[in-house]
Parts: sequence; structure tokens; C-alpha cells
Amino acid sequence: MLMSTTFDWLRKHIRISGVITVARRWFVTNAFDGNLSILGLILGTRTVGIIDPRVIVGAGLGICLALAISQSTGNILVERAERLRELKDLEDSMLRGLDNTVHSSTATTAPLVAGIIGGAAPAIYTFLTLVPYVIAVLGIVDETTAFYGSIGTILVSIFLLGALLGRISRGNLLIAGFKMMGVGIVTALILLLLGVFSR
Amino acid sequence: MGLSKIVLDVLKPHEPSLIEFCRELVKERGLEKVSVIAVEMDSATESLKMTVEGTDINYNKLEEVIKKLGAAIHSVDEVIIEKVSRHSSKQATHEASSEAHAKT
Repeated sequence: MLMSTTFDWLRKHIRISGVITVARRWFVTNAFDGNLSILGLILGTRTVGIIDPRVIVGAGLGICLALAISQSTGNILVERAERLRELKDLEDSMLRGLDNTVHSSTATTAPLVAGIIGGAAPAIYTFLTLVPYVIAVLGIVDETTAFYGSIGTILVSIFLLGALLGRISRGNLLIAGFKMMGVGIVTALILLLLGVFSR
Repeated sequence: MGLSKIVLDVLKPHEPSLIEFCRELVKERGLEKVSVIAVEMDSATESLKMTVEGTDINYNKLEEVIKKLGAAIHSVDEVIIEKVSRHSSKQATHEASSEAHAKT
């Protein structure tokens, strides 16, 4: 009963604040950043000959944690500033204060939702690309399999982000997915070329 | 004796929507029907003509809920208060108990 009441309350606040529209944009942007960061980590370390999966997992976890903290706090602070400004503008239009109303409480809940969806969730999504290396650390697969597995996971992950954008824009999911994956492939090629030239 | 109908001039922000606004109001005890007409609108707010009907409506509670939803009552335009007589209330009670007896 309490759970359903809390869930209804949260759904009402999300609906009134319209925060999902903003949060899903941040999710895609931040998850894309995270995926390319891990891609850079994997290709960069491989280029200089670091192939120990524990190093990749450790560094990758550090990247995911740093992204989670910076993106969550950034989203919360930015969204809170925007909401407070909107609240003040609304108070001017209404010619009354809006303390203890649904609008003042959404000015608090919306930034938290934006922080979780736009900040913490992309970090978790990014961590999934390290799973092949985690499996390598456990000794189930070798480093080379983990390398190719991770690259493949990153490309699929980026494709899915593109498909999500395609769904948001009500366009073609496949075209949107391949476009985004194309950016990932170009990034990988640039990193590989840099690695070749640096030797 | 109780407030059975009240017509209010209300100013509210666009969110929550009219449907959600009325749904939240009609949840209150004593309210049976809420009807709203949007009279005017600008970029941030809308003016409504709101008719609330029910049995012994608690105006203070109604005002509190409207304020909590971010709206403001600008004026009270129409009020109907009904007097429930002893005869009609006894008759209503008698009819209710006869119905209950017939069902059993």
C-alpha cells in the first residue's frame, strides 16, 4: 500500500515536472560519453601493450564511478537551478508564492530524478561494456577474447543508444542506431591510427 | 445544512492538467462532481470557471487542496447551501432500512 502510494506520488511528480524529456537526453549523451571513454581506455592500453584485464577493469571502474558522481551532481545542480527559476517565474505569473504546493516539491524531486536517470544510470550502462574483462579476470576467457568482446559490446551499446534516439525522434531505429555506431567505429579507427603513429 | 454547490473563479498554472486537477479535487470527502471550463489562457496560466457539487462540502479543505495544486481562488461566484429537513432525513432513513430489510 505504502509502495503503491509512493510510486503514484513519484509518477505524479514526474508527469507534472516533465523531467523525463530532459533526463532521457542526458542519459543518451552521458552514456555515449561513457562508452567512448571505455573504448578509448581499451584501445589506448592495448596500443601501449597493457593487456592485464585487472588493469582494464580497475581503470574502467574508476571511469564509471567518476562519471556517475560528476554527471549526477552536475545534472542535479543544473536541473535544480532551472526549476527554481521556473518556479519564480510561475510565482510572478500567479501573483502568489508557491511554497507547499506540488510545484515547489517537483522543484526538488525533478533534479533527483534527472540525477539518477541522467547521471547514475549511464554509469551503470557504461560498466556493462567491461563485463567481458570481468569474465577474463575470473579466468573464464582470455584477454584477447575479452578485448574483442568488449569492443563488440561497446558497439552494440552505442547502436542501442542510437536506436533510442531514433525512437525519441520517431524516426527509423536502425538508421539512427547505425549512425551512432558509425561514430563509435570512426573513434576506434582514429585511436588505432594514433596508436600506430605513436610507435 | 450544508454547502452542496459552489462556483469559483480559479487561476492555475498549466500543470497539473485540467483532468489531473479535477481528479485530485474529486478525491476529497463530500465532493461528488467537479466541472471546469477554461475561460482564458496565457503562456503560463489558465483562468477557470469551476463548479463543485457534493454533500456538505468543506470549503476550507477545498481551498487547501486547490492551493496545494498551485492554483489560486480569485472569487466565489455562486453558492448553494441546502437545508436538510428533519422529515426528509427521517424519510430517507426509513426508506433505506426498508430496502435493507427487503434484500434480506
